[in-house]
Amino acid sequence: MRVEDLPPGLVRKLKGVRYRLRQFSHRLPAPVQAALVRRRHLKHVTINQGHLTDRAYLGNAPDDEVQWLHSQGLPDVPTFGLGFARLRPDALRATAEWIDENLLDGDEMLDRRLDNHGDEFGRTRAALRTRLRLHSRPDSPHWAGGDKVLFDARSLQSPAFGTRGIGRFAAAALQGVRAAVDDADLVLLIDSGLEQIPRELAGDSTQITRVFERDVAQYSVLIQPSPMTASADPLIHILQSNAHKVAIVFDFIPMHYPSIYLRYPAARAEYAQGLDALRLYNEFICISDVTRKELSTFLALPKTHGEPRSIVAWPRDVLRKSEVQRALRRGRRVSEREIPRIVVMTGDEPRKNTFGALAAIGAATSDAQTRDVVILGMAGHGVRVHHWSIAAAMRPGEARTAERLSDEDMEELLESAALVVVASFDEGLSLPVIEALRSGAPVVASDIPAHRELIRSGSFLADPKSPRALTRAIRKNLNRAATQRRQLRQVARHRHAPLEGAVAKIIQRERKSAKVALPTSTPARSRSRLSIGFVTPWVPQRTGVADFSAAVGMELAELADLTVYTTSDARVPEHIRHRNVDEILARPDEVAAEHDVFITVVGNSHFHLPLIEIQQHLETVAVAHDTRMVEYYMALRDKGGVQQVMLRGQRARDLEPSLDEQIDDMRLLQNAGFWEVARRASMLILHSPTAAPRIAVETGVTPVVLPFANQRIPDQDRMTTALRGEARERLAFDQSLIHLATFGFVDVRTKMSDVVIEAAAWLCQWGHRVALHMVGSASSLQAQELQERAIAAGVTNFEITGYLPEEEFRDYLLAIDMGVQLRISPLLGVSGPLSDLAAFGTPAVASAGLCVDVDTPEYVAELDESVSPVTVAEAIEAHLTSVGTAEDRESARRAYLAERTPRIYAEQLMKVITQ
Amino acid sequence: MTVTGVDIEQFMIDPYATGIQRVLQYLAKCWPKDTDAVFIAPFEDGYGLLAPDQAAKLLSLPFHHLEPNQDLRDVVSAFLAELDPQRVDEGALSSEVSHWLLPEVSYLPSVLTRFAGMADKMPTTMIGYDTLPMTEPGNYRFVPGNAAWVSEYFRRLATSNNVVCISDYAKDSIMQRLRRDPALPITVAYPGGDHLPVRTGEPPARPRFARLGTMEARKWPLQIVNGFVAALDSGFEADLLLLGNKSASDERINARIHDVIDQGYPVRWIQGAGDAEVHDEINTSTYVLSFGVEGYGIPVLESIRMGTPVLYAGTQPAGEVMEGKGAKFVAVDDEAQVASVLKDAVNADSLREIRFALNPNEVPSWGEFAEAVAQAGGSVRDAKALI
Repeated sequence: MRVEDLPPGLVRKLKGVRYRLRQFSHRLPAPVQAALVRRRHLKHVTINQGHLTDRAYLGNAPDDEVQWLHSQGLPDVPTFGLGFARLRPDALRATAEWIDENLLDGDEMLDRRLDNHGDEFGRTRAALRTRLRLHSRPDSPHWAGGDKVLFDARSLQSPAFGTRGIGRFAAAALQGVRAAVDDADLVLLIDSGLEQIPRELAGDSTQITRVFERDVAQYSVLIQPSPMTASADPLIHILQSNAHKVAIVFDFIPMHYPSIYLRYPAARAEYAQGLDALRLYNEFICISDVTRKELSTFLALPKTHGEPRSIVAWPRDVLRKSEVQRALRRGRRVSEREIPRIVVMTGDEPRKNTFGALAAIGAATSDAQTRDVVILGMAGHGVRVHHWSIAAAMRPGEARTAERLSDEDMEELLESAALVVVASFDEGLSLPVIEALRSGAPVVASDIPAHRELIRSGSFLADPKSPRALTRAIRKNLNRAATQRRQLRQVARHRHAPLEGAVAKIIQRERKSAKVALPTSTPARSRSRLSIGFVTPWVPQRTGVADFSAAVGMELAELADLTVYTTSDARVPEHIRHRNVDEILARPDEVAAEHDVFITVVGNSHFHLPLIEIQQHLETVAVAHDTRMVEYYMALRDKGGVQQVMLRGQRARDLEPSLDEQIDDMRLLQNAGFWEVARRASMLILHSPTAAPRIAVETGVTPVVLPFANQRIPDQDRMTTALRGEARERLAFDQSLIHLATFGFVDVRTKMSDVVIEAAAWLCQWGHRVALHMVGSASSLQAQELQERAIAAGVTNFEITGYLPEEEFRDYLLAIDMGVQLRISPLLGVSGPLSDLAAFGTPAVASAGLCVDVDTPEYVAELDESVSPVTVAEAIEAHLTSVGTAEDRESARRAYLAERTPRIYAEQLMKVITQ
Repeated sequence: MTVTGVDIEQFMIDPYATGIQRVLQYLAKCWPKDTDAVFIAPFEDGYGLLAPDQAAKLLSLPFHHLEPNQDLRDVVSAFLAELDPQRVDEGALSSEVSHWLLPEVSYLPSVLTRFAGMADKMPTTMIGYDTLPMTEPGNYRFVPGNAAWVSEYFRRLATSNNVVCISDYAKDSIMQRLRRDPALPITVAYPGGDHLPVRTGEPPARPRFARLGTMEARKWPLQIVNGFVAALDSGFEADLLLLGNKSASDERINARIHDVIDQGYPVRWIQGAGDAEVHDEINTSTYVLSFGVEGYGIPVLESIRMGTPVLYAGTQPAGEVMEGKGAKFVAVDDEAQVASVLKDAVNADSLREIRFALNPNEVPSWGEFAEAVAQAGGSVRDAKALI
């Protein structure tokens, strides 16, 4: 029966009884009162834990279903290819068919695939491909008997550079390698698009980005310090060799909680390919016994395989015996702080159960006047921690978040703690527990296998799902020296090898001694003409880059054996050999062997998605039309992703001002986001002399600047007044008006479309009769806003044409009186339309940086980089009267064109790539 | 009888003290008693109408001391409610007034849309400060997407029935660059400097030059700093005091100033100083330097009221008004000339001469300014046919 169903009189009586009981409770002895408060506190925070924690961590996982993050436009999830065990032949066939049937590289889909999640469809497809390659093993393994040791250093390419987490283990493993071989025999596998490995880690060793089949023979040992965090793709050939392959294994946590970590196809396929690769290793170094015991289970090796060869090892500095002895001798000084400090060692991941720790601490100290709780491991997340602490019924300010600390500061903080709480739901090895004990603090930890392995069971271990159990453990062990001593002794008994020594021993044992002479990395050219793989958008794709590539590609085809690789909506003429770019992604090694050089055309839009991806598979010359990549990465990987690219290789660790402000106002752009493109390319070619120095500084790669070519050469030899008149007639221009036009995608943010309208408005206000044409497409919202503004500002003859057929676009170039091409920053790329205006001999005013990049003739007037509607209007007015005679313009135009033909560009490009 | 409606929404949104806020404050304080006016601010889904004396109190708030945790906008909004203004609806607003005055630079769509609506119904007047965002855009970084409203404000300045300019320079630029119709009324009234009491200058023994204002390029901060450095490098001994916030549009300027300070030159940079501190610092300086392009330059007048002479260069309307009365034009085209001017200025004869001529009672008065603006309502009545 519910309270509402009771008679009102009875409800009143019950309320009275409850009130009297509450009043009575105030007279109870203090310990009893405290227990009652704690009980209420626990009830409150336990409810909140249910709201704030994924149900899988609380033992109530949903069904293990895999679904796209956003399914719109995507095919059914290829469940047959997502199992964790080795794929059976039927699954392999079905997976291959799914990949073949689902290319999804039409222009619309490419736009759709910029999904803020790194292209979940493309990632899934790529990982499944890697799975197929890992499964299609050669009849006999590649011979690998050389004296070189290959070390996968990608896990060291993070800003922490081997000082934290996985990188710390990788750095220790690398030390072990160096103890066994000289740098001359050490090869590091890196990803050029990530942070550079510092000199002190890289030494003089060779760095490569991929192991080609022809190179495998020189190696005899592969050390993989992080097999599950990067694609196995660059390693496939050595994995399929008889080299001795050693992997350091951290945990199988994603398998424990698939509904959290492996819920989406891309993550699941990537994890599964990691497991496929892991099965190809010969020996394993595990970071804990727990992980070691799980190896056989999760690798699902055939019974005939026997137990995998494995040991447990830690970096030496994790726990030195001398430190343990010192910590034991020093003993635990009982904290004399008036308010005992409790430190939560956690991380920015729900698995760490930060709220559970706060909830239990809150309840355990519910009788305290105030609290001193420090959260370690969530630097930059102070607001989140604040809200959690409120949900844990703490007072504002009682729990604070430590920002990034040095090792010394962290040790000092831990030394000051009366207790350290580590409430994680799952771990492979819990370094925080070791660090806390080393600093002399007792630990209350979650009762999970990794913690039991370290400190055994006791009152200090508690179920992380139960704030009540954690509360009890905290109350019992707060400031308790005996607990710390007991835990430290247990940790000291842990059986493991030093990682550095273990790696060195394996190499000494397994390394072969053959000096293998390899063929040169560039296959000797037997062809008389250079064979070029030209990876690019192509007409009729709706991007100026496609126009440019088509113009240049036609000429390249005359000079070399050209194969154009495009996506599906490109239409390459039959006389030029062309293939889909997916062929490269499917068989990178084979396709690579077919050409002497690859040129990838890179840009800041969705058309380039698979084109940029091939940089991860092949060495290519990158031709970049845009001078920034930030919007591309923003659309592909969201804000966090683009920030990572913008900060890579930079001294600054934060963006200032915020990313949003920088995107809204490109003059503030801190970094062009070119790191990955520039570093992964064998050569970077730009067309913007204005932007090249900046990109060189930001990436460390000095671009080659090629003069921009005219991609839209007029059909007629001479641009006559009659031709312009005919174009005006075809476009039904009112002959009594001054026709201004701005060309290209309409964009207020970067191309100052609103300033162009206002400039026209001033001209109208000054008595000119003006028509303004925005020749290009605009988003419907922007088009509507600009239409309204134009009318409000008095520009009644205004149009946004939308995307135009080629002939009509050319008519506009001919028919108008003056072009107006603006950019908010000189670093925003080369203007194809300004080059078109120059080619058609049409007067224009343009931002100075654009003029420099296109090297415009004198009938294009340079504006200052900072303009206002008034200064633009004044410039238009002045230029209309001083532009010179048609004859002068025509001769300047012809001279200009003669130097900037696609043919000349193609010849210059050939020269550059063959040097 | 003309009733002037003075739109102060821009102040409610951005009340932080600048020269323009001073103009508003004294416009209200000195509004002639014989001319009707209501100051109008958005209030409770309609508008609040304030008498000039009420508005003067509201418009004086930016110049009062604030606690560190107080947001001036909140203070202003709360004070408006405290004043309990007469409230009118949007529809009734135009019947309360017969002349519309936009006294501040505003790019707010609401202000400009309202102005356009009023312009259809009654004569309008604007106070014309300058046209710099349109004529020297390099000093202004408007967020993309705002250009339309910025431009709209200046187009209104070119077409409103009447404009009262704060300087001949402002008038000339409105006429020449914005091409205002010469048939439309446009007058000049100088903002005052008599809001400060007269003090006797107390120059230090070692010469000290003070420069006021933000470090925007148009105010020539680098020319001053580099000229000062050049003078010191040639053996000159003096101090330089920079009073004003950093440049918002050019970080290189801020970096250069920090660099000079780090190198040990006697340059002090005070940001965020209150009025009293600024006035004391001026009062105890040898000269105030007012270089670059100003729409007017109230600090020139304030310096003279504080007993400190001003050296000015560039476009400085207030300096021109006070030429020979405490302000002196100096021709400086490069840093060497700045260095030379500084060295010459501390010569005993030069100093004596300019101090002798300094006449703080000659600064324009706010009463005259307010009178001129108030009269605009009367004058545009005659120009109603132009609407």
